[in-house]
Amino acid sequence: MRNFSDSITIMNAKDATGIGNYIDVSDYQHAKVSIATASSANLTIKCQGSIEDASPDFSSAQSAANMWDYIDMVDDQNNTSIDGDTGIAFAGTDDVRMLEVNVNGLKWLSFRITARSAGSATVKCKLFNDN
Amino acid sequence: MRTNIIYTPLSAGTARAIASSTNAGPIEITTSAAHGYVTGDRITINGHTTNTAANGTWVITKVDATKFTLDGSTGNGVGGATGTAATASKIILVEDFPSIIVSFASDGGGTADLTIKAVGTDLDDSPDFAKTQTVARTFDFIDMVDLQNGTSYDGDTGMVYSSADDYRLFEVNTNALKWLSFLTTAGTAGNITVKLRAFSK
Repeated sequence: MRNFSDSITIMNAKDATGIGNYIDVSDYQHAKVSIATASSANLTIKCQGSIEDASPDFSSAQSAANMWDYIDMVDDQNNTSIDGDTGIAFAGTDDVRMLEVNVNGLKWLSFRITARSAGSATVKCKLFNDN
Repeated sequence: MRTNIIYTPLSAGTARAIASSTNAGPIEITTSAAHGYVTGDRITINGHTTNTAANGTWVITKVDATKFTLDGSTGNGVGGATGTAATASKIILVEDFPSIIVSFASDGGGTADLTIKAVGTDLDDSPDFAKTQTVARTFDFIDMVDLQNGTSYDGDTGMVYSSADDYRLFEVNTNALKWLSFLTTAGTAGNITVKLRAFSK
């Protein structure tokens, strides 16, 4: 049987910019992420990661003392790579998307609504290894 | 539970262009701008021509704001304005880890200007990565994959910071490598902190 985590809720119907929960992914290689928007959401979500022992402040600017970066996500729908700096944008039509994130070697993972004018987003993820 | 260990090979390391060097023992390096180093610092000299004996990793003795000597060195020519002096990165033993994640954080008040490369080898003994690659000193510059967008950064090119600070995460394939380090090969402003998390399967 493969090693999967339970489903983890990162953010639940979040209707403002900012981060949800951040999680320790150090025991896992991959994250399968589901993003579901509601209320004609118009927002952008980006994935963040860090290797720091202590979790950084993902809601604050990157700096030498607060080291994190945006992480690429691969869309399961079409295998398209979504640049971490760009994130996934929802423009007024609600949708549910499945993505995969390479968390190999990362310690912390987070998701952030970076631009929003309407609606909300629920983000869940399941962590897993190759075997 | 997976094994993973965090290291800091380079903390606020700086780089400066070399203006000249002496054909003497020890070699005296003059930098184009104030170097900020103190006696006892470990510094790499990389890419310096004519006085090629200067290339390598040295403990230095500060002479003044733009000069320092390389302890134990002997010149083989008068060097000109070539190459880079930089804070030496630690060399990390990676033979137990197939991959690492590296974070680079440059800090130059918004104006960091430097180039940093990953270097690796499978040799039993760690080489001086600042010296020239040879048959006896087989190491190479290692590709890095940007976690932000999956872009591959050619090892020979490295990560180039040009008048801007930035914070990046890369994955480096260290499978079957024994030693890994980082070499700052060019720079005039700012500093860089390199951390890495080595992890098992």
